[in-house]
Amino acid sequence: MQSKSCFAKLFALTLALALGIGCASSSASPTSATPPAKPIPAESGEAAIRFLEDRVKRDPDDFPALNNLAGRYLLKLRETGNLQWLELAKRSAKASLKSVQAEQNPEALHLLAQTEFAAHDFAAVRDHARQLIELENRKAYPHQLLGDALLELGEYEAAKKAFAEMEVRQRGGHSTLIRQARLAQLTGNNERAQRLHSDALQLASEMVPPEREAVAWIRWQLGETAFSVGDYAKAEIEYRDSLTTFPNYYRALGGLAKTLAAKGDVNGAIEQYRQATAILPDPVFIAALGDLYEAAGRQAEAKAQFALLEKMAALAAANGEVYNRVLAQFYADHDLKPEAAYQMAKREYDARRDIYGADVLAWTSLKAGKIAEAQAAIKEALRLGTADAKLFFHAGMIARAAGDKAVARDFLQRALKLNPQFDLRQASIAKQALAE
Amino acid sequence: MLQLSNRTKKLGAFSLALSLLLTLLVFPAQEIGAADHGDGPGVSIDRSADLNDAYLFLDPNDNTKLVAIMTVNGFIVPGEAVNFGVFDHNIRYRFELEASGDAAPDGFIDVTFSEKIRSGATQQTATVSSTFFPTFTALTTNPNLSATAPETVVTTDQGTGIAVAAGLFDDPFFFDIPAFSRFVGSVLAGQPNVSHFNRGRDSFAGYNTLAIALSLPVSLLRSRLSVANNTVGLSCRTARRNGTITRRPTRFAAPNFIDVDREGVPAVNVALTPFSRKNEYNTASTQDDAAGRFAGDIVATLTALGTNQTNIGILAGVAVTRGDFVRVSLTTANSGPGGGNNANAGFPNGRRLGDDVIDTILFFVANQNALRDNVNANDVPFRDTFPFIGAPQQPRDSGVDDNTRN
Repeated sequence: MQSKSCFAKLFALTLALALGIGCASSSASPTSATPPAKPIPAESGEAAIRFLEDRVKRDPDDFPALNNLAGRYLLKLRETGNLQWLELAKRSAKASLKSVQAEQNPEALHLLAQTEFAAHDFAAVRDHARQLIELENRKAYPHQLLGDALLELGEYEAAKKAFAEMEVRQRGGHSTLIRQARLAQLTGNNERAQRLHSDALQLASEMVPPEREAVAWIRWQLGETAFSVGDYAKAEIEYRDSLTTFPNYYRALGGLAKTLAAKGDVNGAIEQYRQATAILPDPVFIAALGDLYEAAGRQAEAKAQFALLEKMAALAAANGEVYNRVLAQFYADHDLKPEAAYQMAKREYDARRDIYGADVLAWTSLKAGKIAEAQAAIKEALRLGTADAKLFFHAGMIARAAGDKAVARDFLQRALKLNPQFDLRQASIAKQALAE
Repeated sequence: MLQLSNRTKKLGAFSLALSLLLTLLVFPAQEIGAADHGDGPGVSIDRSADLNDAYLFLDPNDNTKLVAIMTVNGFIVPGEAVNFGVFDHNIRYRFELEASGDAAPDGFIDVTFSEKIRSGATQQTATVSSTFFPTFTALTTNPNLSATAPETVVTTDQGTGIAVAAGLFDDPFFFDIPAFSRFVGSVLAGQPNVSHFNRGRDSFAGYNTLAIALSLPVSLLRSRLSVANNTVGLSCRTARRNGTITRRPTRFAAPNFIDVDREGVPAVNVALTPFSRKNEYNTASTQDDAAGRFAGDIVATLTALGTNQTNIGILAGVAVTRGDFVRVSLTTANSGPGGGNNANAGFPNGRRLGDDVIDTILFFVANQNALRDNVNANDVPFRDTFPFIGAPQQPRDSGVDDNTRN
């Protein structure tokens, strides 16, 4: 049904474009029309950054310029994923607060909190968000910040309340709808999430000046949601639309690669991942590229990717705990370093008790032979009712290891029904397990 | 690193470069939570509706015309004209005019813009409508990225004699924001420190802003608005078309607009209204001002700054008692270059581009003792003819001075 409605939408979209009329979204919401993808021109970002850097060199106390600069560094971080922008943003925000403290300069504290979020220091974000609520309670952004932090910390009810406060202050803005979509995803309502993201896209597309990265992000997220329910045709359209909006957007390149892999286009997926990793050597992309090389029988290239990941792991250890979750997941997926992976996941979950942290703990516990702990953790991971094939797969494999064949079969079937190619390597394992 | 000495800065830069190089050798760039989906775009500022300043003065070349200017979407870096030098077609830019001497506007002039067609150099069209004259249209000035600013397009409506100029301009405001913020901080901490104003740096120098300038025949105002006391007031207001950017329950109703921001007397909204009430202030009416809705907060801020009752009374008389309007006498002659500079004809009588409004406000805040921010003029000269506001600053090479110090 999902695929059918998607093709119907595509047909309607093509027809509407051919007739030169607006295109109604296939989302259930009659209020939104998904705007056709078009390139959004990039502003002279680097030139503006140089202008502002010159300015704060001349006057290190010019906090409006420091705030402007920090915001631009953060945008660069979002656009590229490159952490060097994070460090620059943090320095600018701190310099701004040194010039004028938060009571007279809440924007700088907001910027600092955003750098903390990017660095996964969610407890600091939560605390700063509460300080900002004291300063600017009537504005939506401190509540958004608080909700985002609480969500990552696994405090879902409190996060929901924070987003409700945000909604009161900014009814239906695209950033509000994105948070509601996230809540919908977490509670298993992917259809509602898709609808809300479509609405968010419509609203974000109306911004003047345009917000290129925001529009591209929402289109990428539409792709992610479509992929998560196995609608690879729609996912591919959304990822390509994201790339039309923002060429070489690394998130969309990764999404497109994942989708091509799911559709069986191994060479196409390899090419997309190669492009993505050339822009950003994301551990997720590198691991997936290694898996694809393996699937294509290109063992030497696969080994090179996995070796690169090992080097990144060493570097990540020196950089703190930001990559623990990704690396633990990678090790567990590839049956490597079971104890180390388990320890990483445990440390991560001790600090951040969200459902995906519980999932990685469950998965690494299983690989480390700690079945009881895996069972307890996967129960936590499933507690919100999230409809995610990877969660179901892990639950199935854990039940299988515990000898509960019926539950294992049920979860594995749910995983493959929801998203048959959820992961190149793991989906095959799920099918094998089900066939046994 | 931003606040270190040059020498330390060089060492810091070297150290950063080295660490980046080492990082790039192994790991060209690092990933930021791509596996996490919780990093959605944050709450956006509605920049297009964000008002900066309201100006109101008699044309110094011809005192039978009244010039009203609103500036919006400030801090535009020169060269960022492609996306930023554009008026939002979903915003209504409103000039609220008060003529009868009370707190209620007596007439509106609304300016809306056509959607910007990004391909090509097509100008936007401004539609100027009002409660007291027929609608007409005018073209905006298209910004460019060349070394020379484009010639400003001025359109005069033959029916009313109203002239319009709209587009990207130099930001005419001059003020040292860090100095003011630090001074306020020192006062609130119980240790007032006027030396913060010694910096004398113009936080607005080097930036552009969008602006809409109107030249209004005084005779038109007198005949249509029943001007009392030869005085006209201006409050600027932006409103967003309902259902754009945010979805609200009323979006299925007939098209209407929702207030976003307003600006009258300088500093009342920005400096004297507390952060916690700014949103409320922005959407309130001038009648709300007169009814005392924000008087308590403004008085509290002034009291905290050490302003006595006499001077609080004076400032309240300008911005509260009859609403937050900048008011100008139609019979006080204005003359001189750059929009006028003759003595005793400027702010708080209206507001000319060159009036040092911050020093005037600080004078009353400091109980009529001299207190200056030492930023005494704009970084570029104003023009001597309508629209008076300076041409936009064009892209400059890195390292070229941005004129922040007057």
